Amino acid sequence: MFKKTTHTKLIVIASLLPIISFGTVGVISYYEINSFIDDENWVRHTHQVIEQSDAIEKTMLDIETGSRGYAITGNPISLAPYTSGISQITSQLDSIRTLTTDNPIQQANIQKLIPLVEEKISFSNKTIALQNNTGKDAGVQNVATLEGTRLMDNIRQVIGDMKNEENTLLEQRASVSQASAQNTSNTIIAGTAIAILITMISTIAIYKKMQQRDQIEKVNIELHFETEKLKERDNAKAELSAMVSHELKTPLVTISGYAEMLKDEAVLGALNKEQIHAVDTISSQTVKLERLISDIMDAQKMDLKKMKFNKRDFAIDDLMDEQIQIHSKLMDEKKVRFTNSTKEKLKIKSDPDRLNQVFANLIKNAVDFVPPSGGTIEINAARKNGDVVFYVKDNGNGIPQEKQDGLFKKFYQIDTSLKRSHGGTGLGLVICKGIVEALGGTIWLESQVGKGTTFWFRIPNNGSANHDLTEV
Amino acid sequence: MKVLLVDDNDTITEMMSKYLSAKGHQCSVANDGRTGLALITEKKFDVVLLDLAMPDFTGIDVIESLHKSGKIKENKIILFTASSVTDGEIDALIKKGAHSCLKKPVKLAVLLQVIGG
Repeated sequence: MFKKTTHTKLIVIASLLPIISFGTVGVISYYEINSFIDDENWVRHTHQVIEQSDAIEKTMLDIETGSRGYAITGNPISLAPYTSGISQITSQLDSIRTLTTDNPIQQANIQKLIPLVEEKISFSNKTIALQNNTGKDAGVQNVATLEGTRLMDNIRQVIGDMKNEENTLLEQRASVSQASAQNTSNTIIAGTAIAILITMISTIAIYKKMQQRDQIEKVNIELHFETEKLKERDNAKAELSAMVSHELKTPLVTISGYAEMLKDEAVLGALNKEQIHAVDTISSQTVKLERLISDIMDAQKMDLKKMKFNKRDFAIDDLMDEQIQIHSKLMDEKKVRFTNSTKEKLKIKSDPDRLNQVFANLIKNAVDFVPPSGGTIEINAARKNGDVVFYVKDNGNGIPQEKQDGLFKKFYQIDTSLKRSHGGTGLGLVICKGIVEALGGTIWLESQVGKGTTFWFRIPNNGSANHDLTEV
Repeated sequence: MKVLLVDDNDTITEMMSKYLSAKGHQCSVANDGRTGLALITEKKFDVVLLDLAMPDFTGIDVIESLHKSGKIKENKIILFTASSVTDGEIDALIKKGAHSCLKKPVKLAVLLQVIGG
């Protein structure tokens, strides 16, 4: 049988696996995309540095153009590009320095660039000052020294280096970025494929388990119905036997009553000897019939485990004395020497009424089997390891070994030819075994052909009952 | 002794009243629970022998009615039953005021003893 918990565990695991695998794909993609965005930022940054470098170059050109134009024309309007260049250059240099803080090569380039820029500006300033103070030719002469062109070439050189550096970086970063994009898409494709595979496997596993569970449930329901049917059948059986027993006992009331009345001269007059014999036979057979009905009822209850037990504390020696009283009349009639050899005084918690029933059956059997004259029956109770062991011993024919096994089976009789003379119901020992076992004990026998039979039964103190002790 | 026999089986009541009359008792008979209850309520009996398993109005119903009306202790009611009633049920009826219980079939000598007188 499968356990339900194993099913539930498997289904939970199978449901969680796709969630976990899709989750993993999601987390990996998130990091990949983040680094991709990072790469993009770097690319943009490189472009900013290049733009800024271009801007610086243009500004320097403006400064040169302005100072040169002023030197040639002497017109202050020509100075406009110079003025705007001077106002921008400082912030432009600061900006590029900030943009490349983390790049030592670019910082070194900037260190090279700044003195060149300063030199170029002071050359332009000198040109303008010469124009102002000494006159037009002086400024033009200064320009003509080509010092300005040389300085400008140097600046261009450095800016070119800077742009090259950035372009190299850009290329590197672009290739890294592309690799990372490739990685991301690979991860997503592979991860998704694996997750889909896991989901499919999980779904199949869950489906199979569900099918199994349905199957088990179906079987369970069928079993439940079968059990109910059996219970109903048991109850119907119990009801039927209760009814049959009641219906059988009712006519016995009248039969045994009239038999008793016939023997009472005062009621229906005197009978002759043969009539008395006839009436006696009716009486004794009626008693047997009643006992048979009671035994059938008890055996039926034993079947259904419905026999009631009422445990209480009692003295074993009282129980044993009672046996002598109960059976003394029968023993006198059958001329059997009936003795109780119990020596110990014992107290026990068990069901004395049911133990009486066991004794009644065993003693009745013993009486049936002792010889017609010189028959002896001995009963005894003794403590053994906290239990009480009883026996009923007779000096009858004994029971052959091969017949002993069947003794506790229903309707078993030792010898069918003995039926007439012994007339048991075949249920007595079944009832004894049922009672003893229900009280937590065991019953067995020792017998030797020609010497006699001893039935033993052992009852635990406060014995745990195998039977359900609740009410019928 | 004034004895009332309540049992739906008339062969039983016939046999018992024959026997008890021969033994000097005065017997009345009711063959169903309602008649029995009516007789118990109307007249005074020394002993009532009450069958439990009767159709329609059972001996248990008779006891319940007498218990409710508080008249149960005015009569010595002996329950008379075969195996259809459990020991627990009998105990409950005795607690409600029934005197004792005889199991069917009963020896007439024992019945005579229980009725007394």
